[in-house]
Amino acid sequence: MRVLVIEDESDLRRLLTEILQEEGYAVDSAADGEDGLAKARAWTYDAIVLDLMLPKIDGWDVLETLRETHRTPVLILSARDALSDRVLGLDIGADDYLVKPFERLELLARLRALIRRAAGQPQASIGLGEFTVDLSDRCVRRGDETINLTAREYALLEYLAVHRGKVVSRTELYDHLFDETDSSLSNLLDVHVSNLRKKLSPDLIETRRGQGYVISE
Amino acid sequence: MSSANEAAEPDETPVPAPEKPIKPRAPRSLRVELIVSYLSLLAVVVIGFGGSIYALVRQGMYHQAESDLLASAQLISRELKSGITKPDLAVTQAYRHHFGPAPRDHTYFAVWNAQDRQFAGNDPLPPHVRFPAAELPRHHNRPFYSVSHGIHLDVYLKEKDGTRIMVGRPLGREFDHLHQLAMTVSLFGLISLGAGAIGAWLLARRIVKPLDQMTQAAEQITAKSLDQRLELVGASSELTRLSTVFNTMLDRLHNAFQRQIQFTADASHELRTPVAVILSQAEHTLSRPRSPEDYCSALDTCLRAARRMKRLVDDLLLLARADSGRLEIRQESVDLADVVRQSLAMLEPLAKEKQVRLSSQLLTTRIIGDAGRLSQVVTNLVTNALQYNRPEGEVFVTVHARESKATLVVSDTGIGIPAGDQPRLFERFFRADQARTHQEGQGTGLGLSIVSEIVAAHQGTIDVTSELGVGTTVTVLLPIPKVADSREEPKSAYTGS
Repeated sequence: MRVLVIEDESDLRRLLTEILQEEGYAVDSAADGEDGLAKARAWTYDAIVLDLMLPKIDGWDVLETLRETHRTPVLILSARDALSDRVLGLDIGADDYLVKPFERLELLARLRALIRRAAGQPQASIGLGEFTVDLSDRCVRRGDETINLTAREYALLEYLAVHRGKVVSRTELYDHLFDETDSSLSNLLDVHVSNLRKKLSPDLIETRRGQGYVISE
Repeated sequence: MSSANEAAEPDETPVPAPEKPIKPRAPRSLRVELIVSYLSLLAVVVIGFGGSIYALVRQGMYHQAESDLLASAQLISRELKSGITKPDLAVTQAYRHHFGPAPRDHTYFAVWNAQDRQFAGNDPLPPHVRFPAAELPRHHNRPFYSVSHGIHLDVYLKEKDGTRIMVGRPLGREFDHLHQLAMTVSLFGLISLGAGAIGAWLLARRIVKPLDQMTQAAEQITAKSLDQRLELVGASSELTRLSTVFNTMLDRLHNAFQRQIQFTADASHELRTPVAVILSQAEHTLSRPRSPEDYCSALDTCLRAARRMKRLVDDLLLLARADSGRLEIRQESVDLADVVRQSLAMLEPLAKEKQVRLSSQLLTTRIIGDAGRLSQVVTNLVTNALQYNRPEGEVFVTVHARESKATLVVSDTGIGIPAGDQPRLFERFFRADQARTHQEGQGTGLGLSIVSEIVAAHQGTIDVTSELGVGTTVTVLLPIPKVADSREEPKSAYTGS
């Protein structure tokens, strides 16, 4: 899952990036509204964390402009806690509103819920035959046994599981699993897929030649 | 209205600490006040008017009866003179009848000769008639004398030979008329008072109604609905003026509330951001074991955020003290040039970092003030000048005395301030560029507000002139005490870059 953080306060921007990266998200960041809006339109993000008081273009305008063309889920993360701000934020197209200072766990839970809902997957766990993908704990279980996956492997499986039944192209996977600073070596994806097949089962992820990968329903 | 005002004033007694607390008089309702005043006035008019009519009619009646009786007495006097003797002397039946159709009002008379003997007249006379003295009392220079007993009126006449004639009669019919008149007047008086009461009630209602409307409307307006206004339709000019004044006051209150709300929102925003940094940094770092380098960098982040909060809290406290008039300004003789020199030395690293040339020309100028606070003024002004400057730009600071004013000028070759933003410069949390880039060393957005509060506490003035893209000049004028030594001596000018 790839997330964009638009936040002008440098310490907070770095922190949000670190927190989300540790959770396995691919994270891009922007320090002002202009840069944020450009990135939000250039890439397909699974969610955007948006501050409101931003230099150049403020958060309200970023959201309004973005909503003209994109349906990307947006979580407003702002120090403005007035009822009118929260109502306005949600009304002009935000999907959630969290007030600073925030609890890390709440931010992560809200972000997960946001991404799940946007993918049409309201449950917090997905059953794939003998395996269960737990979206809250970010792990895969076979019965009671937790299978040891790297963050990237899990992210790849999660993305395919959330979009199960649909063929996901390699480009789409690259867009959602790697941030702008990752070197997109073309065979990196193949390595992760083959690792997943080894750790889980060889036929869970099917390869559709020339199209991409799919987990059938 | 005046009595209503009096009623609203609390009773004041010079006695300190009375045994029983004096109950303030409950204010009387304006409606009752109006009705009572109006009715009292009407009652005075009605009673005065009715009483006058009654008195006039009664006086007229007495005059009439008196002249009638006098005529009758003169008739008897003429008959006496023409020699009619005692037994025939009588008031004719027709005459009697003329005076009183009812037997109760029949005239009676008596004639006394000079020897005080009654030789003609009714016998017996009514019991109230007394034998008259030889000399009748003078009665308003008139040749007769009249006296009333109850409803009886008697007229006495004295002939030159000492004969005295008395003619009198009860005024029963006249008193009946008078009584009737009194009843009629009273009845009309009561009716007009009743009508007046209804009129007064309607009038009072008309006067009080817009006041009630205003009160109700004013009660609806709370801190949450300060944008509402009083609207009076068809009210008197006085009430319209009152509502205009009230609405103007609401405007001011509304603006003050808006400023307060904005200030609170800004303050909480500015405070929440560093708290968010500390909280999420700590949570993030503690969520799993880290390397010592990670812990160090986390603590460093927290420290920066905490310092930022400290600056903000200090600034907010200073402003809160200034607002409540408790900003302490020490009164000591300070050399403004010294204060500026020390502050500039501290700002030298920032000037280097921003690649801005910082120079000054400082002449000893002694004023009475607080060196610490004045140094805050200089630091805030120069920091702004450095912050909103361009690389290779300049900041020039001068201190000198001019016309009994200590003058501090900070001018820069910075980005300037748009003319539209200049009036708002001293507003709290106002940033001309709106770019809230929270970089290290950046101000809290309260710097100029604090400068203006400190300058005001020193009885000084501050003036800003700015041109976009050319630069900004801030001039602070502080009073120089007359007795203080304000010699200007060129001291080694501080120059740095």
